[in-house]
Amino acid sequence: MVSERTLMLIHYLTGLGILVAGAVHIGTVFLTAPVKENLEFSGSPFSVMGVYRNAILAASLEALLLFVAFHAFNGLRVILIELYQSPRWERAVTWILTVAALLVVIYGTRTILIAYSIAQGVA
Amino acid sequence: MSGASEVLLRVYRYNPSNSGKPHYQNYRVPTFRGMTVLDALIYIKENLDPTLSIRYSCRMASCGSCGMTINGLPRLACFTQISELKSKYILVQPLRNLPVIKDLVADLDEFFNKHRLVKPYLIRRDVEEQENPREQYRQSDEELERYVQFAYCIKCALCYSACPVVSTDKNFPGPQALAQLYRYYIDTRDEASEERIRIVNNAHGIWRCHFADSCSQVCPKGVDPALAIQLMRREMMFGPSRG
Repeated sequence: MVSERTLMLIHYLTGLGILVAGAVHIGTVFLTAPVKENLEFSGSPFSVMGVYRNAILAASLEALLLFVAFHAFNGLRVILIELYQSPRWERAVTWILTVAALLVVIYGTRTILIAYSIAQGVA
Repeated sequence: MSGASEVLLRVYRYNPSNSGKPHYQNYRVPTFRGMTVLDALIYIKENLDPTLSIRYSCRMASCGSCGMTINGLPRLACFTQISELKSKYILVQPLRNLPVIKDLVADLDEFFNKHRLVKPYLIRRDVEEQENPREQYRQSDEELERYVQFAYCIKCALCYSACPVVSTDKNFPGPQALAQLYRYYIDTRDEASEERIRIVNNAHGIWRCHFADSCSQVCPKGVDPALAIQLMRREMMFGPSRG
């Protein structure tokens, strides 16, 4: 069983991580090329898919996904266990949100991997 | 009483024993300079309605007995002058977040149980010294300053009543208990740091504080429970800092 202290430490760190990885994400996607070109899959080095050609940027997107998934679902857990208190409710909330977070991470990782492989193929 | 002016007190009335519904009753009270809300309530009890229930003792903001909600804010009735409210209409209700025994008297059992939960006393391992004391435990001025403001708590429950987390999470210890936890944790004479951390390191413990700061705003003794909670969190997050 992970202690509340550890969960909150990860919560704060992932919050900071979202700031950093989010800035990298926004910076690479929106600031390096005109918006119109970004939103198209054109094969341009500055397009959305073009970002995935760079393994480090793809990894930073995966990190952003992990940070957001933990931070959001742990935040939701905190809200829900504060709204209503019972051991059964808390167990249910914890398990359901853990599974939901894993599903989001799995789906997001799959999407990033597909995009990365497509981008590699295009390049 | 000069009787030169008067104020309208709208007072919460509720008596669970006769299964009546809560309602409000209006009383017109003549005021005098320096009159407190407690003076007005005592006037009502002595002259207008002896069935009104209030709890008070010292009348000088030392005992913490007369905590109630006055014009929407938790305050000590003996420490709130009519003139400072700047209104001819005063709404008086029992403390929020606590059950009502009768009228303006809140049941403080839950509050004191949470206070007891954090073991608000020094815990020492030197049993022999405790049973047969031979010398003093010395502290420097700096060591005293780290906790002394939190030792001014009079356990009036105003902070508990103002806390938005207590209103939704009944298992949350509340600002008073958490401030007292820090007060003993940071005391260099105490030897139960780990034990104290374990008490509040849970899903309804110290991490649930939203830092609304309402507890510190309403404290009549100038104690800052929100600060104690943040300092305690820092201790738990980054390790002990006390020397």
